[in-house]
Amino acid sequence: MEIKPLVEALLFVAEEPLPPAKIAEIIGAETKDVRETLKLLQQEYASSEHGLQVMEIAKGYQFSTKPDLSPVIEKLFKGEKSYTLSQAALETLGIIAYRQPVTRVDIETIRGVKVEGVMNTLQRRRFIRTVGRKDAPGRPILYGTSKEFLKYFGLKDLSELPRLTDNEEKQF
Amino acid sequence: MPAVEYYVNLPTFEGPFALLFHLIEKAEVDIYDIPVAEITAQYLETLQLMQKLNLEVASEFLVMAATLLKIKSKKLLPSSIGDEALDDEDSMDIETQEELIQRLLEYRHFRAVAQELRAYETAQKRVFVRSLTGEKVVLVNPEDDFVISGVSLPALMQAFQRLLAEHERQPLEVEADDFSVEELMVQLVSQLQGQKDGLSFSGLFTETAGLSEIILTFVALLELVRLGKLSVWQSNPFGELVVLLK
Repeated sequence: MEIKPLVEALLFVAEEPLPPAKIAEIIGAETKDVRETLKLLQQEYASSEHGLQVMEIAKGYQFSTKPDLSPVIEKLFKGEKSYTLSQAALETLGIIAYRQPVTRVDIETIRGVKVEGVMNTLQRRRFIRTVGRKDAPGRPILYGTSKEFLKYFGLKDLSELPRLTDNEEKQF
Repeated sequence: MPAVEYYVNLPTFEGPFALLFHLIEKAEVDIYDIPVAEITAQYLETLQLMQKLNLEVASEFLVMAATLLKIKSKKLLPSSIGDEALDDEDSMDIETQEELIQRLLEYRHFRAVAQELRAYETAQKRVFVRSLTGEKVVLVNPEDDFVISGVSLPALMQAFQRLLAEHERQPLEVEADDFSVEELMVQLVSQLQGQKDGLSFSGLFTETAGLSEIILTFVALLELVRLGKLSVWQSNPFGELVVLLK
């Protein structure tokens, strides 16, 4: 059986990005073939006839609306609360993303301020998670970023994090 | 004439490094060649300004002030006595100007990262995915070390004070204090059940509520928020608080 309709249907019902291996497992196909099919679907939906796109995000694939349609879609959600992250949250997330696994003290050293409040919020929103404990006095908790983090910023994986400029890279 | 006039544009700073950056940029000096004496003076001036404005100056800002003064003194003293005489514990592990520059550069790097992440966030806000839960991100001011999402502690205190002030205008009545925080927690939850859009903060209290009932209800509310059972929203800085069952 042609696998394209199956892959498309799964993408449609899934609320979370679907990893190709999971799709392959469900429909009983090779992951390689699923990947090819996903690329094909991506190309098909890229045409301006479609309002949806097949987005590669957080190590999986997901249907989303196309960015240029956002003014219209926002009308549908008019009045609903939408929030952006604070500067403090972004700086803290940036440090965790690049330096993970890190302790809270590591982050406080770089930012020069206490980050307990921000960390609590980020953890509650599941942007960060504990990944273990550092082998140091007090065995401090180590933090890393989560799948939610990738989803929120539209990243495929951590390798897609913004690159440092040459000028800045020299410092590290 | 009040001296407040020229304070108006004082931005808020995320921390001592952010303030230092602001001063360095304003002075248009090379980060590798900071005029420490000048920047230190400006840094201290800004702290005084913040204190005059009754802004809470976090201890980190003061520690940085001490660090800057130490670096400045070290430059003036012969190197042989400088190190030991000025050795103290509370100085952010920054001993020399070189170390300060290193730390500033590291902070600058992550500020740039934060800017990049902001761009990603903005781009991602334009695409919509199916969501049955419809969960939205609520991080308005996470620097407030408090479990209330979407509203700051000062705003909540303000609302509480407003309520108390209103109460004062009402005739005094004598009543028995037969409320416990536990009871009121249960009552609050049942009050909010089925209220999909939540209830306004002032709507939680009856007009005849006694002082002790108001205070205990407020305590019950905070306790429920702390336990993660309630969330509190505010649509704008001075708007009515909305209490929602999670």
